[in-house]
Amino acid sequence: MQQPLVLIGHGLWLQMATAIVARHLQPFGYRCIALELPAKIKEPAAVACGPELATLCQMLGLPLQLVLAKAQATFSLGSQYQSGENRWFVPFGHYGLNGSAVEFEQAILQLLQQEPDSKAELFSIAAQAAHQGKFALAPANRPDLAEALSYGLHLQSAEFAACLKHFNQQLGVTFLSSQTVEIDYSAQGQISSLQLDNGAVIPVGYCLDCRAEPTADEASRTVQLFSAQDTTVLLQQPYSSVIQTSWGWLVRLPLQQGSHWFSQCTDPTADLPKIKHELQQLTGQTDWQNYTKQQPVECQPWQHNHLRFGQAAAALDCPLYNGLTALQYLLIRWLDLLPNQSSCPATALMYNQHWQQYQSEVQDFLHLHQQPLATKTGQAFARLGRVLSTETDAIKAGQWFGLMQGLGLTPELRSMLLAKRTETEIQQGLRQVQQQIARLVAAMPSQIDTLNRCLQQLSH
Amino acid sequence: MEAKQRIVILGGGTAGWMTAAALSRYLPQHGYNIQLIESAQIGTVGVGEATIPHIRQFNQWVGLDETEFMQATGASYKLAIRFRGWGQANSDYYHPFGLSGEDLYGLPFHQHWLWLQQQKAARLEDYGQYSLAVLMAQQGKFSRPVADLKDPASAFNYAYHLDATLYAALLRQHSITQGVEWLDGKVTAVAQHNNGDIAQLILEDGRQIDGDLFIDCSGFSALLIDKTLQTGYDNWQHWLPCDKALAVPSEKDPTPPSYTSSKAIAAGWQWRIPLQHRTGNGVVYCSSYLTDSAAEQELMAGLEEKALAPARALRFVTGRRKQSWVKNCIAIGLSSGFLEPLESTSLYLVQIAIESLLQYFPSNPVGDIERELFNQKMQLEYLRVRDLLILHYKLNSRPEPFWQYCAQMAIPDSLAQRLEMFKETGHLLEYRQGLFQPASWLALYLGHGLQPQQLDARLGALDPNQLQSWFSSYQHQLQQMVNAMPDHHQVLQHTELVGAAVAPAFSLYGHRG
Repeated sequence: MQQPLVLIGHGLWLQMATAIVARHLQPFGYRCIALELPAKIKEPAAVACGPELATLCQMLGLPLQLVLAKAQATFSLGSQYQSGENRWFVPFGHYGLNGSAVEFEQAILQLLQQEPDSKAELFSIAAQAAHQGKFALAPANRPDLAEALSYGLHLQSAEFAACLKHFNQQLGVTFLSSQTVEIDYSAQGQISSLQLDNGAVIPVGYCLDCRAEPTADEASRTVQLFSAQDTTVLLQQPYSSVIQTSWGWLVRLPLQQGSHWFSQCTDPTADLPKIKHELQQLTGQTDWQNYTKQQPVECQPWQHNHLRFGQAAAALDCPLYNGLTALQYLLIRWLDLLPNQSSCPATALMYNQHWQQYQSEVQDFLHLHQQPLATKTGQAFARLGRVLSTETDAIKAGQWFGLMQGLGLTPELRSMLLAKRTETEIQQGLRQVQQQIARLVAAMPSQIDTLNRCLQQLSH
Repeated sequence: MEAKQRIVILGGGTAGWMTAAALSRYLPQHGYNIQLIESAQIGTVGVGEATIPHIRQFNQWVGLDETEFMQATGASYKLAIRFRGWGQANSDYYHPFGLSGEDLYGLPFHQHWLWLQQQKAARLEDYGQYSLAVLMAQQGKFSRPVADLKDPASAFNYAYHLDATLYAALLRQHSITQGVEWLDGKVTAVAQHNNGDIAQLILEDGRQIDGDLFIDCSGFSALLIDKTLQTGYDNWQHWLPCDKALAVPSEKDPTPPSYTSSKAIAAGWQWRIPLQHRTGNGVVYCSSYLTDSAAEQELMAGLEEKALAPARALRFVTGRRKQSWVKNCIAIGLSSGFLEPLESTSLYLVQIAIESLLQYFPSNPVGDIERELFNQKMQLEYLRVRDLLILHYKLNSRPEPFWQYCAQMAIPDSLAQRLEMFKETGHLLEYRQGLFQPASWLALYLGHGLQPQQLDARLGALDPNQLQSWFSSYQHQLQQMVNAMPDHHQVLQHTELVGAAVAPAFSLYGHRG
């Protein structure tokens, strides 16, 4: 392909996309141009990224310590949920210590039926560590723990974007900026060039569009609510907090110096003063800002040589699921297929179908938060205690299980694969795992110690 | 005390006894009563002599020791299927249980191979020569895979050629030991409850067998799922037009290959499955294009050993029951559908059905959710296998009328899209659920000589000489590993030669798959 890859958008999404594309394609001599446009929607001050980010940083060659330092980041082992008096943890990692242990979650569910006061998180090393404020990367001699201790990060958006921009500049990406952009199409419907406000024309091989704004006919209105920075330092919390409210869910992301609260209301007629009052009661924060956002509802991301990644990711973006994760996925899957021609409709069709799968899995996860038994996934869990197979890792197995059992879904049927095991055998097996987890967590450092050590390594 | 749940399995072929063995392995006798009804008057089809690696997991799952299994079923090891005459009359390629090469510069191996081919690289070998499983199969070697992902010997897997009748007998013995009640009888009537559920099977001698859950393993007759419950059938013959088969055993091959042979003929294909004590042979053909006598001539002329019995005929309709689980009846095996054994998937589909049944095991009465999940799962599994089978027929440039029909026939959208994608870019998009990952699709595309129009955009930046050196060195390394392995026929005589067993990987392609 002779023409450059042009990425357009703004803020963190543009920088992240540029970093992924430029780092992947730099060894192959590709020319990448990033065109910065003004932001049309408010970007949250902080973001929560899942375990994909650590893998991505490794792939980019971006040291974790640098990200922690520049973006005031903290670690996240999952989310602590609260719904009324009910509290539960939803980890990124799997339950138990062996990810391929047969019917482990089923054994937990059986125990919970026998001992209603017991908790599934006793068998999650992530949950146990999180509750004790502990965090450690899986040591090199225990690669078996890496999945169970999968972690994400909480980051300051603007600072992380700046860090990535610097990284991109070092990679040799050309940065341009413009207040507006006009897209020129060929007779075949391909983007041929982009026109900037200064009259410059950029020829385009592929246009990777990271803008989140929807086209008018494909949007729903949502109200986003952001708090000012909460100055309470929560370094003893290597997790996000998720609290159920009368209109949905409220999320708190702790950073190194304070934290941020976010919420979203999908009912545009909702009583905002009442919501803000409830927010104040729940958080103690008085300064709340709200924005009405046009959110795309669906998107076929690959259309000719126009890749509407921003819109596709924005359709999923909400306090409970960060669109940045979706954007990373879209980019990496597209790079896996990097075509040598600007028109490949069959490849685009297959890619878009795969994206529909990803999207539907995330939406299923989000719907579970509202009406668990209205989803097939919730119904299957409530009947059989099983998490349905997925085509992507948009949501990790531990998250599905953690959320559904935490929401109080109790299976009607027991696992027949455990039917010959006695209750005592199952309990003994589980207790052994619980003890192993307890020993491992006891030896883990606190998040504060791990953070300090990482930051010290950077200064050396 | 709750009454025992009564499970009645109708049919004692491989599907019936695999089901009985698995259910009796997991369901406690104090809560479940399992009966299997088999009629000595009704023969079994005995499909599934060639298997895929998942059978190893099944055996482990039901508690069969590999050495005992090998001896009891006369099994040999299987690393691949060799396809001759498919695509073009002179083609000869392997679909291995293994991967070829390794990803390089973040790009799949086959992209590099295709690119070097475009560059007319002088020392480029056939694609299969970069697969350990293919080299082993071609050179008559065998060794077990290892679990260390850094070792190229982790990138393959193995299955068996087995005697299906002996396998059923072994599973029967195993099941009876585990408490399954074996009844010899022929079903003459089926009684239903008012809600349509099956209540009772009435045998020829007047016995009445009550049940709560019925598993229909009655083969093509589909006595419960179709004759009683009248579940419809999706006929796929317009995509897979073969409708008859002839099977004949021949004498054993003293040095049996570790692959199944599939050779295309004028209107179908011929199989050869080497066991320890005999060789299984047969033809699958389309009766609109080939007469029965011509098919038999082809079969007999293609035998490499002396026939041990007359050929046995079989007629089938390729397709699938619209629902595998209806009311309180679950169809497993041929009663739930038939796909020709071109990719040795018959026992795999039985295995998946049993595993899914245990995962979604119902209470009494059966709930809609477990039924729906089971049916969805089985539909997907059949469709995935179906599409790969159709591809074998579609991608050909043979001159015979049958093959011309296949080359020109319309194909399902799911396959057409996948095929077009490969033609456009040479890339594949894998799926998680269902069999056959990119390695299998690639084996077929490349084996049938399909060339993508374009390749990955990054390849142009690479140095072909450097790449060629890596290819040569890699192939040399594989060849050295194969040289050090024992011969397959020696391994069959001395199982200690095989090496330490590792847990079977749930993949066609080994631990790296």
